[in-house]
Amino acid sequence: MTATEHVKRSVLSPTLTPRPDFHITRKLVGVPKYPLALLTVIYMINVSDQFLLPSMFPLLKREFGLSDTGLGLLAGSYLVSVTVFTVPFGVLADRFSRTKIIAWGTTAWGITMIFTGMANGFAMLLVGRMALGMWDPCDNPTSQSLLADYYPVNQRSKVMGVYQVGQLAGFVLLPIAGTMSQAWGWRSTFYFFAIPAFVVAALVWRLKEPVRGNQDRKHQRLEGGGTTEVKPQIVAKGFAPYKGLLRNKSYMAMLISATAGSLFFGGIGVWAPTFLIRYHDMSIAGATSSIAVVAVGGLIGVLVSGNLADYLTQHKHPSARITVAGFARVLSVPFFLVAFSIPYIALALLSLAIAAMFLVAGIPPTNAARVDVLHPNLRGRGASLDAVSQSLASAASPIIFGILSDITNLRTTFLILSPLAAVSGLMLLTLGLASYGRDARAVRDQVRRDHFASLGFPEGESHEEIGILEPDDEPTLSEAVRAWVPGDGPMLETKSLDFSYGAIQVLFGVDFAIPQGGCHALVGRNGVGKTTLLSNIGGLLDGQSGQIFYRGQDLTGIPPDQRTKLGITLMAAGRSTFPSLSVRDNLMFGSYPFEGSDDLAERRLEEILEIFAPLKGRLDQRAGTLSGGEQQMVALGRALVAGPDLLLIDELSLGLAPTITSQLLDVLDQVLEYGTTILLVEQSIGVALAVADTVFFMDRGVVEPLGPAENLDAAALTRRLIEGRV
Amino acid sequence: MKLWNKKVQRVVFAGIVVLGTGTGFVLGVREASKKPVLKIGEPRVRVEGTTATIQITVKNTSESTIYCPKVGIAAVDRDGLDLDSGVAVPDSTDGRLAPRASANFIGTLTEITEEEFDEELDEYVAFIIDKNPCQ
Repeated sequence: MTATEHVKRSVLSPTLTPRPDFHITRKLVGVPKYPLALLTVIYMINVSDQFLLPSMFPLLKREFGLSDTGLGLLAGSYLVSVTVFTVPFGVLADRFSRTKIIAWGTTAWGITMIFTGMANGFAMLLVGRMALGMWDPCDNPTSQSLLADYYPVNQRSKVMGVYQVGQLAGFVLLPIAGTMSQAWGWRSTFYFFAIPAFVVAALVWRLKEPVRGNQDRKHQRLEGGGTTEVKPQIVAKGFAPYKGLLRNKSYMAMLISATAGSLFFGGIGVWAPTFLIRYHDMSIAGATSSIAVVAVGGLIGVLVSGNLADYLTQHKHPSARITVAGFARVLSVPFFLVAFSIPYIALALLSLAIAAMFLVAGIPPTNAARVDVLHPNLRGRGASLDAVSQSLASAASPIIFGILSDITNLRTTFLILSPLAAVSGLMLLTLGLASYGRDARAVRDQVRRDHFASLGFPEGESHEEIGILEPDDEPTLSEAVRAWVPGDGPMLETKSLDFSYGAIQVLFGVDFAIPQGGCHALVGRNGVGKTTLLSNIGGLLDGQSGQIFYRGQDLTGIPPDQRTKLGITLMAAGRSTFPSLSVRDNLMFGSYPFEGSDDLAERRLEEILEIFAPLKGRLDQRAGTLSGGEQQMVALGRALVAGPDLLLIDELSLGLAPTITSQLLDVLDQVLEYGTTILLVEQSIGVALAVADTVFFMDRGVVEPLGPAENLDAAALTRRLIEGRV
Repeated sequence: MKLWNKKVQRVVFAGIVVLGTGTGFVLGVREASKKPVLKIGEPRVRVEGTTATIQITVKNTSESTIYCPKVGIAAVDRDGLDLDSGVAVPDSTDGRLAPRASANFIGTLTEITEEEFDEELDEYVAFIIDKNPCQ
């Protein structure tokens, strides 16, 4: 039966199932999490290595008889070196393989750590420090550009939030380094800290370099977005890119905002312990360790803001990244003012932690927004300019605080400079917000022009002509699923789906599609991947690569409960009931996708009991005490209460008597009449051919369509099943 | 064929990584296993007004060498910078440290201001400026 044929009206019909518009929360799947984890670890090691030498100043001072000026030179030389080399690394990141840049840079930085450990005097320490500053920028601007191409556009803030954790975690390693230095000497700490640099360098060397701008093209649904290398049309040589950056208003707004933020936070970081000692009578050790609350606040901030910005962006707030970052920074100001004004230490620390949370929360959405408004071939340069500006501001900040404190006092200085955080936020909320949409759209247009030019198409088509929807016009995924009509293509489609259990690969690039309506059987021997495929469609498992489309929408990363709300219900193999719950509770469990419609759930329950009459008198009995056939009825009944558009059934007949199987097949015939589409996984050829309209054959992780069931010979198919040929 | 091709790059890179990891480990272990000949104890501090008197015990762990060490003391802030520093002198002995023997050294720091005591002072440290084997 097809979708165009008559559909029997029933209370169990999927068309009567209320499917509200809801927010889809995708997990980071279908995209490898590994690069994000690795780049975050590299960031963490980078930060710890950066502060390793300053943390050993007392030991170095004694060993080499260094003056404070000498130590200051060591600290300053690093900053000079970083400032000088960040910009060239930005250029390299835009032009060459970013994974290789990080790999070589990190290796050089490991060698530098060993060199520093071998230092026999000030000169070697200075050279080592400058060399470290030289290699340090191989990581940050490059990694941000890489992350933009590894992960989907709509998850950028979240990804940047996780990446930012690396910076905070880097400081955690410093006490470990301190303990090592005390126990084994400062030289051994440098030697041991060099080892992780080499290890991560080797790991990052093996990372696959993503095609530049591929996620931007995928986001615009440009065919081949993930694999095709596209030659950019923009001028990316000489100073032209920088002129472009300076003309990009939203980028400049973010640059100024970040610089203002650093100008404030750099000083706070240095002077906050003194403030606590001076105004709250804390001990030095207490004040220093109290600053840890700031790190905790920051950690919460980066993780929450990234998720929030992505959530709002997908919820019809296309400029949410700028808005969240801007408001977060502005909101930090009152808490800073409270923290610096009140005499109660606990409240001061709490306010400081909340203020830091808001201030740092601005970083991930801003980083994501900066990527949005920069062409894929300019992101390295954009991030590097931003990094230089921030590091100069961070360096100048403590000096400004010190001068102002000498003129007035530290508390007044803190209060006077707190509005810098508001300046940072307001810059985003005014200039940033006014220009972000336009600049992001310009980048999308340029990416599109690059793409079509590379395919040899003439330029100048409008968005409508090539079917591109702007994010603010785009329907939500649940709306799009509802709006889909059978003429739009297959109801369910998998594309190049791979799945492995650890090292054992089970699905090998599975491509298959089924139309709406009818029953489609997937047959195959035990262990060929049928259940794995069904679990991937149901969302219980996430494929390592490839995609699953349901009613034209990519299901990648959507958890199983949300897939059920979209209309997909999985009836798992075996007796998939909750044995300790009553039959009624088991059946009613299926109604959660349309929570709130109790009346409909009750009506469906009644209908189910009409179909499965043996369950009528057993509603209060525990499901685990039912016979195998009755339990299968409960499982199927529960699936039907959900009113699925697509019902996935795994081994309906497994372990059941033929008469019971026959009864269940009759029920399936009825379900088909409601307009539900069934994908049935079966080992029994007889069962599959009895109920299915089309049959697919699966063996060793590959699916082959065999065509209409009526054309298939059961004996030949059974033979093939035994032989396992695709 | 290009000299600096992908295969050469890979081999060179792998070589550096392996060599670097090995060197880091070997040097780290070697350094960690080194024991200082002159072992310095925790500084004992007595503060009167803005004068800090610091006493430390130094032990010669060598089997045969006699040392006449020069011992430094300092008060440092949390950035590791000295607020004041000086030299500690032997308390009661002539400062000759026979093998396995210990001696007390004492010194005073007078340049620390009251504000530095309150806001900046992090810790007192003692260190060997020169091991100085005795003639």
